[in-house]
Amino acid sequence: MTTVIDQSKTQVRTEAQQWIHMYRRMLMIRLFEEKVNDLYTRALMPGLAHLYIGEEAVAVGICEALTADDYITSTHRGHGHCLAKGAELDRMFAELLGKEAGYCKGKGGSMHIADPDTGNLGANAIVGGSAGIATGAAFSAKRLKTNQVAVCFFGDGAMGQGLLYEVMNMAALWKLPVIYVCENNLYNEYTHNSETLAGDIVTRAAGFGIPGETVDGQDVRKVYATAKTIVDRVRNGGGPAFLVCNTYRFHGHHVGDVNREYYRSKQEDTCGRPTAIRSR
Amino acid sequence: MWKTDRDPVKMMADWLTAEKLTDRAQLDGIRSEIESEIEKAVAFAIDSPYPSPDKVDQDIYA
Repeated sequence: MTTVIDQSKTQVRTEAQQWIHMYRRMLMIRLFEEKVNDLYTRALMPGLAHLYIGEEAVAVGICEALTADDYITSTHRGHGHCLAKGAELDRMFAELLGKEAGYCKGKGGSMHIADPDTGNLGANAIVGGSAGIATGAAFSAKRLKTNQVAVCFFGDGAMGQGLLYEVMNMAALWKLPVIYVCENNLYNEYTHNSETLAGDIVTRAAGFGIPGETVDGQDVRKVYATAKTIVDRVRNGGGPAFLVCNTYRFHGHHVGDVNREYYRSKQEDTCGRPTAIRSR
Repeated sequence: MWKTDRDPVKMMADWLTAEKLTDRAQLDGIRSEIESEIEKAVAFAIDSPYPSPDKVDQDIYA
């Protein structure tokens, strides 16, 4: 009896530690991004950066469901993906500041961070540009029987890129272990996606026979639970998957995008994505 | 509205404390630890050298 209770307590503790770990990772991304904004506004960082603030639960919930050697590909808004997959803060900052100690020896900057040691095949400044890379990684995993899966992160803007559909077609045909994760933050740069996307995002996957799901991208527990089920299925030969995470970009398109009244109302900019109106 | 009610970091903190899996003191401790890690990382980056000009054509693929 005592043993059972002890085991139960151990189980609870382990699970609590896992949730606290996820909280820590999300907060790390949040504070990292706030520091990036600070470095930019003080003119200490060259170039621009696209902040992930508000979307942390997506990267953390998904990456926690992966193993260390599973692959991810990232986007122009990629710092969160890198950190969630295990990148180090010092080499991240070094890359952003153009220093030799950075992940790309200071030559890539914010939008090109890759970290093969953690399975991160790289950010990509081209919207939807990493879809082919993730699908290729999944092809190699299947061919070499390594048991790895690949996650392709992209935003709702990438739903307008043809490459994504070409590789989804191949992934479905060849039953590749790849998960397409659409971070739907409502905005394609400076345009609300009600002006750019026809129909419903998640149903597009059905055209290829790829199972599609939608999850609340603000709730890390829901993202993690959904991702875990999908990753298990994909790893066990179930073929590709498509997951829409509904989220919201709290800041502008990039750190320099501070006057947003022309595309986002003052009310929305102060309080955030409306829950009912114009939600997709 | 999402910035006030749907902040993923705040939502998780609220849930963790409501479920008594942690308390405010531990969460504050986590924040301080991360802030200090970030300060160290930024200092490291600022103090690090730029790549030397003779390496400008290395590791370039496109």
